[in-house]
Amino acid sequence: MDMMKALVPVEMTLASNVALRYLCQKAGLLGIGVQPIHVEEPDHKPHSSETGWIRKSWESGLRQAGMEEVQRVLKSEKLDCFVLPNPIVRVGSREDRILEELRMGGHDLFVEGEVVNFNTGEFRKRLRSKLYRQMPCPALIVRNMIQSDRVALMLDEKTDVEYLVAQFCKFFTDTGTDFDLCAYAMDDLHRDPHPDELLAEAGRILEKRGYAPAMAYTLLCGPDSASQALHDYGLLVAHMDRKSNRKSPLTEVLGLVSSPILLCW
Amino acid sequence: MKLLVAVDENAYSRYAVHQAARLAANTWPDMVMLAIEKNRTYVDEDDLNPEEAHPKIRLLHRCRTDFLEALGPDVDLYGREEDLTLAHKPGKVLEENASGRKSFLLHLRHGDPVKAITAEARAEKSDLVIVGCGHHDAAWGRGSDVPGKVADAVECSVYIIRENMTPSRVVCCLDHAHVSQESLELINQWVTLYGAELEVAGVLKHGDLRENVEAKMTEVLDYYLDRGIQARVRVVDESSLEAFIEAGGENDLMALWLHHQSPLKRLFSTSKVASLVNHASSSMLILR
Repeated sequence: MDMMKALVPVEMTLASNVALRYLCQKAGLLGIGVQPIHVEEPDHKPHSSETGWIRKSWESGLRQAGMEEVQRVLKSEKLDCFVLPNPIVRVGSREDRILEELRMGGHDLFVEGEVVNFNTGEFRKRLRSKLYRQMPCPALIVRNMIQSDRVALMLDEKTDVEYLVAQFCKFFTDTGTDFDLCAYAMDDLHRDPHPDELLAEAGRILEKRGYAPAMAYTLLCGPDSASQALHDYGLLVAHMDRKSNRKSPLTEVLGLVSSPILLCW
Repeated sequence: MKLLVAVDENAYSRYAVHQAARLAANTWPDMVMLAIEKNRTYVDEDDLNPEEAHPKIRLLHRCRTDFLEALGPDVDLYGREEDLTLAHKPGKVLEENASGRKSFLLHLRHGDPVKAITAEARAEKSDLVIVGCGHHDAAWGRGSDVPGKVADAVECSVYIIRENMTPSRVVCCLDHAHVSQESLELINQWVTLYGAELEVAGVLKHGDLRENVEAKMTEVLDYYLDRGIQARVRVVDESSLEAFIEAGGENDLMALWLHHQSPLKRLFSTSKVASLVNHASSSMLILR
């Protein structure tokens, strides 16, 4: 099987730095190569409205500056995973250019750093953004560099279990991957499907594909306590329905948790 | 490093003394142990033996014994003689000198505990003041809310330790780029001693993490990762910071870098630092 490609914005920020390091640390687990991208966003000064060679040379100047920034970051991070040798540098709106590259470039994954906020509003804003609503592949949001290789497959009553398991198996081709199955709900009263049914269903589908979770359990508590309970995991994998804008308890948990999260849609 | 441990008769002070000993075993600081007594009303104290004239001396002796026991018999840093002489020092301080290879002074002051601890920290040029306190209130000695007021008043770093709490997570709030090496090392010490996780929380101003704070967070993160300490990062809005600190649980140690250039310093006016420290469920470390 070909190595999967992950598109990763490289910037001089803490979040980008954390994402790159985490990704390289877990390159073996995920089996992916890193395709760096950098977008130089033009300011709104008069030169950007110029035309002809002035605009062209101004844009190539920006591209050159962007390339230097990427090279500087990649060099300083001394990454020991597989990084594709030609970083992509674009000029324009960050959201539009990344979306364009994800659509055209056939990437398997979009990886971005984010420093987790005590206030989950920022995470919800990210999920509502054009980039996240329209991207054609799953997104890995990296909050911290976590050593643990433990993975949790998160389920709630809105999860499309079949789809989530398919995505999980696509990323973790080794059936011996160490992972837990976790059904989350604030409580188990009148839940449809009931968390136990979710676990059973996911267990069945996984078994058919040859996977067996190390542990399957239900997490019944508020988002704060749940995010604490999950913080030892090196990765949480969850499905999200992008058509529904409703705030769900699982979204709150994912907004608060400090582990990286792989969002499948 | 110069460490000042202020003690009273309560069990939390003994707990604080034990924690101070753990730090001392690693950092070999010069020690001052301070007790505060009421203003003396009797005139002829020379007619009494020192322990009768100053009952708090007995408290200091007991705390010193606890401290030395917690250090263990193999740690030969401070004097272990029993017969110490009480001497009058400038600034109305009574002193017993228990120094060995490192300085260890037992000091007795009288009057208001907050003023006494502040004056002692200033006079001894302490780097860290350690004060124990109870779980649900911050009554200390004879005064209420003493730990909070001390945290606010002293010029050096302060560690308010709640009794019998062993933090499993140390959360450091950072809102400026003037983090001293000493404070990084101090956090390193506590994280190692408690085997705790470390979280660095950057404070957002108007929703943004300022460039210098972000750069400092990266540096701090690298510093700890290089030392094999698993550090995590998080951000918190300035407006939610108080709630964030108050949300710190009993197993947390909340650390605030209150540098004079820190916007936190403005954000947390005098009463707020005191109130936060007094009402938090977690132990608190104020770094300066």
